[in-house]
Amino acid sequence: MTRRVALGLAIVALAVAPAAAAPSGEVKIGLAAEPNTFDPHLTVGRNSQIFIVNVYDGLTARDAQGNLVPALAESWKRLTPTTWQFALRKGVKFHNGDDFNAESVKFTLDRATNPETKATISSELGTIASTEIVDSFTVNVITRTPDFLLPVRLGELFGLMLSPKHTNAVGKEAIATRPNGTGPFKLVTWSKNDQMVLESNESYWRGAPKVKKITVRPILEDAARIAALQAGEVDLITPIPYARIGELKRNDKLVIKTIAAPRVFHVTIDVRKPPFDNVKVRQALNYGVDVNAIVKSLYFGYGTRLATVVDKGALGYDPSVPPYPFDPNKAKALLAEAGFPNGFETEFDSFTGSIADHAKPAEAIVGYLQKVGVKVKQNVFEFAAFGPRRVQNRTAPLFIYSIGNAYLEPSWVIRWLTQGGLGMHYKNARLDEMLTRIEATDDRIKRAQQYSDVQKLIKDEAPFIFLFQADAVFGMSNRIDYTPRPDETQWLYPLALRG
Amino acid sequence: MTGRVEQWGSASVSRTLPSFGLTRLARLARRSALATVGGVIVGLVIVAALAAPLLATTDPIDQDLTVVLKPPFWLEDGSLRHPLGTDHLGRDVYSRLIYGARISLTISALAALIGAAVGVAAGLVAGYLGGRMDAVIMRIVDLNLAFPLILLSLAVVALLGANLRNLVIVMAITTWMIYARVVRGLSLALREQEFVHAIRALGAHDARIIARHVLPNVFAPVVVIWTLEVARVILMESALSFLGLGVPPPTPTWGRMLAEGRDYLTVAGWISIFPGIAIMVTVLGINFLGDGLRDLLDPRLRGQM
Repeated sequence: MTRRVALGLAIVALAVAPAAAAPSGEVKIGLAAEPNTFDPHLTVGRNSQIFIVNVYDGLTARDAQGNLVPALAESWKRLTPTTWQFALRKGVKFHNGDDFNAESVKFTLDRATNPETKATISSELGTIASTEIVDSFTVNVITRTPDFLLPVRLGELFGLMLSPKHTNAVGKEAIATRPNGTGPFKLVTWSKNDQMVLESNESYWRGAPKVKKITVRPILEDAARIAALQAGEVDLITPIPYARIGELKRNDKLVIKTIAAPRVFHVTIDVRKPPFDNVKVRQALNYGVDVNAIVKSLYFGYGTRLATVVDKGALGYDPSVPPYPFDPNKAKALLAEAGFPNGFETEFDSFTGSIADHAKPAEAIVGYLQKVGVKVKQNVFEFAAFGPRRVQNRTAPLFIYSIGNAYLEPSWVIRWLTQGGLGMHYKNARLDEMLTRIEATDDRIKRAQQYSDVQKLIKDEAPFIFLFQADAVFGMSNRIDYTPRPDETQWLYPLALRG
Repeated sequence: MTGRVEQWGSASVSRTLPSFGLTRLARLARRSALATVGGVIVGLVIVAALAAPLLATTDPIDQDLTVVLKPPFWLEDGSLRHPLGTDHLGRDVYSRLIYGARISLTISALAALIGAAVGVAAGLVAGYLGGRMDAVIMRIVDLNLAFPLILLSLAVVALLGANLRNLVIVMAITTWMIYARVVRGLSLALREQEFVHAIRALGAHDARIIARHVLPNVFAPVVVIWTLEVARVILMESALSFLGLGVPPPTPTWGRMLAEGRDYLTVAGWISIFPGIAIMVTVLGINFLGDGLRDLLDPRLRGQM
């Protein structure tokens, strides 16, 4: 990790040096999906949210290491437990020349929280009660309950700022394809499922991007995307199947970069249903699965075994909490202690067609469970069919899932995983209390320390089979320079041409 | 009197449906080398499927993540322990191939059989009764034919969930129309045959005439269609498995193996290549056999034999 960060820093340093030059050249990109819309309030799926940030800015942002940094807000502070004050950056203009100011922020947040907008991201901004303009470049955001995460929420995924004048003028439908942000790139043309052209915003407040034109093509099939990179039709692609990395690394015209993504894979256990109400059974399942072998053979080592559902890039990740070791005998012994010397029968839901491959690891996990005597029937759904099963709480007692820790904050992930719905039914009063205390702590360092106990508690309680986080893989031609971000965001600003 | 009529009926049966005697098979074999090849291939696949527990060297779903992506024995790093190599979960490709034959063949044969039963029944009723019944059934057939079959299967499997029973149903839905079409045409002609008129004049019920006199006469073409449809359904099962809508894992089927190997084509091609060959050879074999059967059963070609 440290080596990767060091490498990343070196590349950033190299890339930053000749920044004075005007934008030039073109870079072509092949992605597995394209956004469904450029309306930041109507995005569906993380695939959209991680891309449209290239046209917009949030009040806050993340740097290459994942630290929260100022963006359209220069600073922020908590005035009262439920009031956050943001001091806005001055002199920022939208692509069409409109000024960015407090009115833009109020307009955007009012639109996002207005039920008539039917915002798909409303759950992320649900704590916002109102937004007040203090002066042209200061706003107060009032939350219903204390929300320590608000500055993170108003970042690059859910806090993208709109121009009131433009948004009202073009109307709700047209904003989807005619965005007007403050971001590093302007959307020039977009023919859906074919290609999208972005052009650099030369008056960008961070300084103009180095590349003048970016063409983005959705190439759904992995093999086709890789072939396009090999043929030089595109300069940058993501994702890449792990099995192909070795082969591509041998090609000296290509550079392959991997970075730990904050997507935490886990198997949710329905703790309400016997025998899973017995903690020994849940621990047995954790002892029974060789996660290291899965990471090594299915992910070719491009992943990290996790002790809990807290990813290693998250605040307060405690490497001293060891993962469950692979010990099938211990698993069988625990099952016997729990009264199941011959195992038991159960079902396991998995799915295809989501942002990441869940079917393959699921099959391997089921294979391991069979070996310790748990007779598992595996169901495979199309992701679109699996969604309603979760909403209606009809999932099998075991199901695989992954959650992208967009906020890099364990409390957000754990709250989500213990929400009592969507098939997740684990509740623990002590855990809730610990999280509430953490959430009341504004100081990051102090918050980080308290997460150790949370991770120990969750590991012992084992309401999940703890798995791993998989690396994100980017392939690029050696004519470009790009450092991927550790938070899934496809942030293209640092993109540069070599030489 | 009745006896004589029955004779007519059975006479017409023997005219189009010869017995499957050994001598006739031998004659067929002499006549058509292709049909023999087809028969041998299909026979071998059936034997492999039936004797899977004896032929397989390991449990087809037993994973071992310490030996993933091992190549077949004749390549470097391969071993006879896994003669055709291992897949991404360290399962034995050879054993999965053998067991896969079971699932692929069973599903296809069953689906083709159910499709045939439904299609023949519909075709008989439509053709023999005619009139409004004919119109209604044939419009349903048209409707079904006008639907893109893969899309229909995708929709049904996505809605009902993927399991063995649903797959068989879905594939039966895509195959019954062909039988209905053919059988309707044949029974339309048979209805006007003299022997049928005679039986009707004697007061036989429609149901009895259809079952005892019309059905035997459409049997031969149905058998031929059935063999060709089995081949098509095997391909379709592969396609659905490939799209992730086949029999759920870890059950091995050829289509699923093909799909699973897709991500490893450049590093471990054997995961896909062997099931691919198996599908191709089996489908080819069934098609050869179907052609041979048509020759055997077609009365116009019989004289040449």
